[in-house]
Amino acid sequence: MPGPSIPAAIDAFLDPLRDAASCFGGAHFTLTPGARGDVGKTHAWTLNSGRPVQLGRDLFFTASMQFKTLDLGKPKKRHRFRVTTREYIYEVSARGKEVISAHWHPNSSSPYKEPHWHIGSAALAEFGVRLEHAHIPSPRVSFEGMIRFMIEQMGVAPHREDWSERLERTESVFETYKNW
Amino acid sequence: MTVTNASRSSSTVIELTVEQARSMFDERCREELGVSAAEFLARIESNDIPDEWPMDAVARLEILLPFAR
Repeated sequence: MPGPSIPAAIDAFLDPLRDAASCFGGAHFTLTPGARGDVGKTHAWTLNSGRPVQLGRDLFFTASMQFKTLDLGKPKKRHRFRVTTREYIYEVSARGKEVISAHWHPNSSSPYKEPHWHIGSAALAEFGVRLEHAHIPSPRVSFEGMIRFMIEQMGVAPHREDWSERLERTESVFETYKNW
Repeated sequence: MTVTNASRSSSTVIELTVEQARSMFDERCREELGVSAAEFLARIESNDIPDEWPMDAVARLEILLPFAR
């Protein structure tokens, strides 16, 4: 997401995510110190200081993302600063147990570096427990894509009538600027 | 702590101070694994992660490492 200044680039990065989060009632995006001023340093946001957000129907949502602001140089003018995603985790849980989560954490201690899904024990029948710690390969998952999945496939109630159009609009920004 | 109110949505952005960020990370470590942030960081840096630590909890904490540094 580009901007003429670092704060503008951060806003351009976060505003679509805030819009997307409003579809399930909204959340606090907690940012690391200095995120609005640093270039080239890895920062992060997490919803509600890392605590699960209640979605209703006994479901909870946890989301965190690492990102970095890049300086593309003065000639880029209004697009000089760009925020790029470094890692993400979006997790739906029920009664403290993971149901399903989308992960991409190439810089973590995990040996698995590609985007993947985890199917939690709360989503599995007894005979399917071998999948509990599996890394199921997936394409990159957007924050908006995860919210659409929760609403359309998991029965999470949207908090706005225009949730689908809103997610489509904010995800188009992500599709325009993603670089992999 | 800096709070930005979202006039067009119900989501807010809060940029923590260094102290608040470290406190939040320590709280998450204690809730997820029952250990302090200092112990978690030491284990991660020495690549000595106990087998009994759930992988999903470690992943949730590792992505929050920028809050601790």
